[in-house]
Amino acid sequence: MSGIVIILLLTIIQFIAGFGIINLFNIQLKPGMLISLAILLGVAVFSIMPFILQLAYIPLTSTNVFISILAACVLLNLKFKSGIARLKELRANLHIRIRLYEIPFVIMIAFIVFVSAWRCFYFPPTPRDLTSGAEVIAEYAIREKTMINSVFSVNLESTNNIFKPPYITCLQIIYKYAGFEFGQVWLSTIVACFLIFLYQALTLSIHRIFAGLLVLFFMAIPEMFAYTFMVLFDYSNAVFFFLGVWFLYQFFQNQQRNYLAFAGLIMAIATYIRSETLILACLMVPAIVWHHWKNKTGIVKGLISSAFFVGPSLFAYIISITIYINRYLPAKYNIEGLVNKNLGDLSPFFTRFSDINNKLIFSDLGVGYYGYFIYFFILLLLLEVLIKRKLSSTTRNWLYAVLVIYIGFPLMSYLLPLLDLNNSTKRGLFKIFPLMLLYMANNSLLVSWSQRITKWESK
Amino acid sequence: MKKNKNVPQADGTPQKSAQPVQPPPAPATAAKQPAPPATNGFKAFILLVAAVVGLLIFFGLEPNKMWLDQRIMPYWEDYKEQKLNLDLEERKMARYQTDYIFARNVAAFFEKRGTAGKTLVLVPSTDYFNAHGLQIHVPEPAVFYYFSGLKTIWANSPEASKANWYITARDGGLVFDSVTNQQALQDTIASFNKYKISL
Repeated sequence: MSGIVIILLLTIIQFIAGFGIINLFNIQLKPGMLISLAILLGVAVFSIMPFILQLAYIPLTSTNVFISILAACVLLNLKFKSGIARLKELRANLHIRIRLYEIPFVIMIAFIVFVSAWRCFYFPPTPRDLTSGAEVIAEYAIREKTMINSVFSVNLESTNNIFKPPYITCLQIIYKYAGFEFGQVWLSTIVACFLIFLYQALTLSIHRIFAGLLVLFFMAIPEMFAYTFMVLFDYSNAVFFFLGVWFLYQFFQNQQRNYLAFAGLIMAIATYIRSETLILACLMVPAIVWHHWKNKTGIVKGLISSAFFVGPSLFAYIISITIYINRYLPAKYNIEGLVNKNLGDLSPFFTRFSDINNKLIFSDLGVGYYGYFIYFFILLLLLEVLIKRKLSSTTRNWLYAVLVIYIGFPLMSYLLPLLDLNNSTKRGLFKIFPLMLLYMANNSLLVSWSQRITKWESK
Repeated sequence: MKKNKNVPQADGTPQKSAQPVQPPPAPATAAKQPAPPATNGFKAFILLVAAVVGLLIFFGLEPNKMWLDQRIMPYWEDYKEQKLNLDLEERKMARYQTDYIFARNVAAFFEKRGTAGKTLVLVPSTDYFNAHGLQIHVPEPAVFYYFSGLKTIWANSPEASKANWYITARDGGLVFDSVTNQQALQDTIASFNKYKISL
């Protein structure tokens, strides 16, 4: 029981921190989206505070960690008056009304989330990537009050997991201090809030029946579901990458630079979680330049906007990899040595591209990993192309984001041969699913059927 | 010049759509959007039936059915038992199984002697134990340290000769030897190195 109270308390603190960021950037959202996004951002703030303390060589005692979190909450809510006004507005607009036909989906999704959350709470961290990396560092950080601890005096030749950015380590430290022996439950917070955000985002364009079914479809991707209770970097990375793209596309729609800067900030969080996300962020640049070119605002502005979007990710990379791993950690890690030396040979790109298609997607193994999600996406795309014979710019945008992942992973494997197919790529593809989901939500057939149902419903 | 068109959204609000940049639904003003239209009871019931049918079809598809039957429902059954047993050590053993038990048992030997903090143990690979009739999976040193707080090292490490204890298999059991003779240690390293190290 006390565990639930602690989770609630931490979630409230996360909401306050995240709400402060949303308010600073003046982002306007529906209440359901705003609350879930604020908590997600709060988790990200949590993941950064012990890291900042570590960078300043301040001991990671429970007092220091929680004071730093509270200080972050205060600093992020410096626009106190406007924050209070927005909270009042949020309260006035907050009407939780579940329609009768939403109930089956809500019950089913809540049941699946509960099962996942329980497993996340009950079992200790399992993946070897974690027990030989972030988790063992977090465990000894609690005992030795520093992330640069005795783990680095162990024989580490069999693992490079200690050289991953400290996102998970920081969250594990906080949740262990908060009384959860195995940490981890922050992942369930991310999963639940992300599903709420996704559902709300889908209902902006399609009927709630379709939205419920699609969220369930997303939740039931077998491999991705497994990582809703087995902590690793990829689920969180997929969440923040998606949010970064989503807010970038909001900028495309409303032209407000605060949305672009916000998208850049969120992409920086995704890069902090998994450093190679920087490459994917760069692959979004053509979409930004194209957007400016089509709007006749100029390629120079396009490049400036691209800098707004990629710059924070670059900063996150420099802090978490270039500075922290190279300058702070006692063990040497030759990052340059990981880059493909023979860039003239493009065959690794095509080999990986072929493997992704033949082994991970269009195979029995692929159905085991990802269910029929990708097939359903292709079916909807084909139907839209065949029946409607054109794609709106919104669907084209989402398809471009899907393409960034689809092409981006072979490209990353070509640049960084260490990214293997059966682990890194298999999990890295998680990022493609929320993007496919948003394509589905903007598929003109689903949108027009939704409109017909809504019209019939409101007659 | 391309035409502009207004496409109503699912919730009935118009969505501006201007080429070349067609804006998606606008969450920037979403907080002020009107509430979706009210549904009368009968239509809501029809939609409820549609939702239930949708769920049945969804879980009728083979991969989804398998996922529900082989993952979600067994996890739910697990939950009913697990909620009655919250002992931390048992939860660790249930998850890490023999890896954890092996690491804890080895560490316990040194803890009893009060030397766990000063010991570096040369451990053989899983293949070595299997070849000697012992079904033991040896965790890599970082994981071993996580499980037990004991520092271990593998034979293929250039630092292996710094070990002050080593473990071998003899007569179906484990033998712990302290390093008193560097030659004996080097011989042990050489014999361990004949076996592949796997994670």
